[in-house]
Amino acid sequence: MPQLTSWLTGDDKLAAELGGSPDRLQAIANKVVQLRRALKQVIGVPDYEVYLARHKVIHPDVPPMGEAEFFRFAIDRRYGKPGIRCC
Amino acid sequence: MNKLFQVLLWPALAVLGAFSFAAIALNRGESVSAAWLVTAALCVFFIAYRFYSKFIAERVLKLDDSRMTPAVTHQDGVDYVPTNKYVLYGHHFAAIAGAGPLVGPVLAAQWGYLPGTIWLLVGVVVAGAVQDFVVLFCSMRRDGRSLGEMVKMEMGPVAGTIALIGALAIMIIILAALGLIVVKALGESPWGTFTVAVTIPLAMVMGIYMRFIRPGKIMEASAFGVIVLLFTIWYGQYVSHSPTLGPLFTYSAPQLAWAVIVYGAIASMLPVWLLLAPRDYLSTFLKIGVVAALAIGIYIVMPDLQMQAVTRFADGTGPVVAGTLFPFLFITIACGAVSGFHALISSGTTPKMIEREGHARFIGYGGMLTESFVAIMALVAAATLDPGIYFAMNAPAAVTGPTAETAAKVISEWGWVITPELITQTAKDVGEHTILHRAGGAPTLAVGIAQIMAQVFGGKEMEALWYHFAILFEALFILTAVDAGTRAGRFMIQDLLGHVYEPLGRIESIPANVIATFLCVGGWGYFVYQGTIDPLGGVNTIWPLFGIGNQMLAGIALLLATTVLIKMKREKYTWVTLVPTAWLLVCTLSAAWEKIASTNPKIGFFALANKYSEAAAAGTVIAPAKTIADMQRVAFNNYLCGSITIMFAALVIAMAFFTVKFSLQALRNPKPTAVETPYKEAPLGESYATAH
Repeated sequence: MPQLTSWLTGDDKLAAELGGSPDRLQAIANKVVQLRRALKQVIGVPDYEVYLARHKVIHPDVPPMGEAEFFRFAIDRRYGKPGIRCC
Repeated sequence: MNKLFQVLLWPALAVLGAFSFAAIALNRGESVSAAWLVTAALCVFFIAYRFYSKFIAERVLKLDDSRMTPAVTHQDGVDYVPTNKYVLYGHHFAAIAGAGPLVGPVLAAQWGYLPGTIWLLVGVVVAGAVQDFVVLFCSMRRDGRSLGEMVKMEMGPVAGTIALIGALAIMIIILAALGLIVVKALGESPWGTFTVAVTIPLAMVMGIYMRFIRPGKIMEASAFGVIVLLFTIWYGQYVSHSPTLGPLFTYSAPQLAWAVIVYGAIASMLPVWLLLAPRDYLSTFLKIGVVAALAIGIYIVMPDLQMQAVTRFADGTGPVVAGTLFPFLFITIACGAVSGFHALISSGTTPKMIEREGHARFIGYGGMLTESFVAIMALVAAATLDPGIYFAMNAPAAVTGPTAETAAKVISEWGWVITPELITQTAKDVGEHTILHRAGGAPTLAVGIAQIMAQVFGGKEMEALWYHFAILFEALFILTAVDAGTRAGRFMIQDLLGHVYEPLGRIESIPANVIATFLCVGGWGYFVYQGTIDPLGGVNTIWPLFGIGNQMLAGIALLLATTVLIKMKREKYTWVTLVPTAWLLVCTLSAAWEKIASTNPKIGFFALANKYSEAAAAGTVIAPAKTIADMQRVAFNNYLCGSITIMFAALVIAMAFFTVKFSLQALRNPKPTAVETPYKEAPLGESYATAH
């Protein structure tokens, strides 16, 4: 159940509070988290953790954007340029 | 065991495919299950992918996994992101699949299911998937540059400007066609209009939630959105029956045309996070869900194909699309077989996200095969309908008359016996006042989907819900396309205007923005509105224009691909792109020629325009026009459509000229002259796509 909650709500902390997660289900939980991240990328939302990892390499001295800020930035960027949609 | 499986798999698929085709071919005159058609298509797709795309990847393009892709060299975590192959395939598919593969095959079903199926299968394998794959490859080798930029790089600035003008013109025509499809689907339909109208505030609530309340929680917002949508579809039936709410959502087609125009102008100027992005998420989830559900549904229900394999309309007298099978089938079905628009997507975000060069085969070629599969299912959904119903929905009022009685009489005379009761009953089953004259593909497909899905789940009582679900699903991504397309058109117009008067090119200038938006919306809006008031206008007029334009863009993309292959000194393999280019040029130029020069007013734009303007000058009114003003409108619109056709033909002939010029130059040069980003080694075995 916490896995499901976590997947549906996208909030891992809330899911943990609601149910706690037994170790043997951890692997499934990880898979679900991965699936959720994959789905987000399919609909065109860049992954925050990928950005964080990359940011550390390119600009180690500049503090990275927070998750909310990154999300706003990414959405404006994706749709703000000439986004061509198919027929 | 594994080895044995691999050895036996492909012959087994070939035998299954051949058996499926035999089942279709040998059963002429009897009914054939649609499952055979789908199976045959799947076998063709798998075999083409396994052998032909491998040949292109290894011999023609020589994809090199040790060469760094732009996603790796420019990796920034936002635009350039090395992405898991399957995730990127999903993203690419969601970006290329829109209303096109659903509408074209439905209109083409008037010729029977066989011509459309053959063109979809042969077209995608030889032309469409090749175009997507090769353009993706070219862009990937050029830092993810766009089609227009690549044409400029390889064929000079004049060719680049021609490609840009062509892309803009096609964009305006496609927006007009899409807008008209929504208008035709929602006219006099309070249920449909209500559900589609609700998506606008719903998307805004989602947008505000994702922006301010719980930033980035897309899944939460999307789940909420889907639940509200389903509730809205269910509630719509009460709206349509309500004496107070019903009339509030009942509009005529011209009124809805204005609504779409005003919507397009406002939506494209709102911040993207408020409406465009959230609805895009909703529509993507619905799109993937519906496609999967329909595929499963066809296998569970195994409906019979009721349309004939080839109908009598192959002779050119068809009521849905005028003209003979050749060349008009090949421009009616564009997306699904080959779509020039994909060249814009394949040179957009996707090439900036490919992790390894080798993935381009699965994403480019495989992605297009999947879209073709969607088109096959749309064709199946239309062909499993009672042909009488199909023609009642798609033939214009000028042909079948205003009522179910007149339509039943005309269609029965064509040889598909149908009663007026069945027509009204079908309308009632799907919760509409009428299903007559709803050309445009969306409603026909929705009835087909509803009849198939209601057998899987819910039965006859659920048919109306499934129908409105299908209409909503199509309207949702059409409105997203109208919004995104108007923005893209605005950028293109500003880009062109900037050359004439610099301040108009400034993207951040609000007055320049407004002017460009009005030009763009005015362009497509004119056609949408005229499509609803011109007695002979509508989807039947604009769709061939779109088909010619879209296939010409594909021709331009394939001409670029050919030039690049020659410049890379791969002359030996130029037939891979040259054969589809030649076929597209033959089809589109002959279709364009007929549209321009035919003396038959049913086909030729100018013939029809002359007929009406001469009659108007003489003071006579020809039905279905009612006034002299109607007559003049028909004449003007057909002169306009004819002129646009001439422009498309001129653009593609000019591009062919540049291709020959630059190819001859490259042939004379003993060294490769393609302008690629220099080679950088990418250590093999390392995965750049983190997080998966």
